[in-house]
Amino acid sequence: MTNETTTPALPPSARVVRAYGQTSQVSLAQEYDPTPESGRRQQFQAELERLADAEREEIISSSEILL
Amino acid sequence: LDVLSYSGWSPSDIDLGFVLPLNTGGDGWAELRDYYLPAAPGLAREEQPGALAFDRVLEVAKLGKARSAFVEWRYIDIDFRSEHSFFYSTTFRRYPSVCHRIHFFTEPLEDDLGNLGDIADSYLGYSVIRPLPTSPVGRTVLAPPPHLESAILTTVEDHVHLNGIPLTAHGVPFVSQDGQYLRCSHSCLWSASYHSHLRRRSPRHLPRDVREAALGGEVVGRQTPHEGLSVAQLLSALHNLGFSGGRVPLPRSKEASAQSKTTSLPSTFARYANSGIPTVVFNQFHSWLVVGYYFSDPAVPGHDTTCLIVHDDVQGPYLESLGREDYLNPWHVVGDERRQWRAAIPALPSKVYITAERAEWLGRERLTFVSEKLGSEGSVNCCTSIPGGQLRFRTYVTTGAQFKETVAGRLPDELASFYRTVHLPRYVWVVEAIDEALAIQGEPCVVGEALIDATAHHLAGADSPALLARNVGGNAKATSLDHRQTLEVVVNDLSPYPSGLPGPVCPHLE
Repeated sequence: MTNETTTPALPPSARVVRAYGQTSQVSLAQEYDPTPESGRRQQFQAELERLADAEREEIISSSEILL
Repeated sequence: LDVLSYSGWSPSDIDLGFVLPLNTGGDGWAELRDYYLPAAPGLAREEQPGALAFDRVLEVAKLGKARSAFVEWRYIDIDFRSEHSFFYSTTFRRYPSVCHRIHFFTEPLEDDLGNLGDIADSYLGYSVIRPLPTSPVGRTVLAPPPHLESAILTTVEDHVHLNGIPLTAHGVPFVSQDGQYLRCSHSCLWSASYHSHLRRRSPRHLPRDVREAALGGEVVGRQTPHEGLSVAQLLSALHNLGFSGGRVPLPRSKEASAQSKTTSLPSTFARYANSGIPTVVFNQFHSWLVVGYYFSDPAVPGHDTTCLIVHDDVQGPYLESLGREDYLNPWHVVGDERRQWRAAIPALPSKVYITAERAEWLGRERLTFVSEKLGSEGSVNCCTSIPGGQLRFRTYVTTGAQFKETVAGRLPDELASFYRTVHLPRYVWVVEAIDEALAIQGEPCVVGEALIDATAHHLAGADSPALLARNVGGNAKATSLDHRQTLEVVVNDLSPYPSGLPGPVCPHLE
């Protein structure tokens, strides 16, 4: 029996297959703009919020539609 | 033809139907039209119920250079049987429960169908004709007109049999509404569902299933005969039919559309058409499907030159938006509150939680950021060498497995191996960075891509784990989700490579 915190022993003849590429210390999340309040991040977030607002507005204003 | 006459609609059990020569000098097209929908005295053709869709079906077959048709009598159509069982069998007036089916071929068909097997390759598709005098066009899968061959279309393959001969139709499923049991939204839902069934082997839903699926949400009128669906019912139906129906509001003016960073009207439909997904669009009183697009000016592929291809259950299949003077041209009805295009509802697979607009916004932000960063560090590659602001993006959803299949052959071995060993979900959004100048010339033009987890949080931030992998001109990176392990590959001198989608990046009419 194993659980999720136990790494099972490999069969003696097994050979691990590894994903292709070199390991990196900088993750996808870390490579992005490190300044939390940067204009870039704000611009990104603003468009997401505009999208959400437009979706909400469309939902509210579609009650008179009959298809 | 008296549709409702028992012997008229099914005149014989031993006569299977009839062959009709077309485009051969005779007047076969008019004969076929008049057989089902002769001119109504005192009514213009466009005012005659059911005529527009029926005439368009014939026109599409004619444009496809059909040279013969076989009208198959006594065809048992599972979709009409559903309508018949739950509605037409309940009326005092008797309706036949069997249909006709018209098959179109680009080669002449012998009178005894003796050469059917020989001309199977010339099959253009079929149209089921229902015994409903005012709305005859039932399930239809017909090849698009040849001039649209180079457009992006959400085409699927449908296999049928005629006298034991297998035939294959390539097209986008279409059905017209009957105004009683099925309304326009039902038609859209049925078409989207049948499309999904053929493309992704999702369950087959019949008209009754579609109607039942639409009983959730806000019911705003009588349901039988049907007075129309609310948007809430439409969305509920999509959910119940196994779709994830995201609602994308559309800009209210052409200028707002052109300036929008994420929801320009043509781009919205193009993203889903690229993905092979038909999109429901509605105004205040009607809905229809956008099933493809092309650019009317190949030298200037963009907002104003995008021509959308639509299936309108009233007017027929494969209609082109540009130049029209009705509600199917989004720019013709700007400012007209009733007819203006309100929102798009793509029939996304159930496990696509994040919409194309959000996925593209996320992907383009990362690709742009990394490209600028690499450029500022002196790295020159096919992506960073494109001046800031001139990168274009092309977005589509595909399966992780399909994406991995397509990297072989179009990407260098190192990059292909990298992508093929990355863990990917069932569906991923692919945001491709495009060198537009190359795209216009029809050359390989992809200089990078971002892969977005389609099941990611739909409000994912710019540095969220929704981004699974990215490649910027040969500089590729992926971070795993469980152990947060990052792998990278750097391929120097990467040349622009083909898109992961078949067909042209800038589709235009040949």
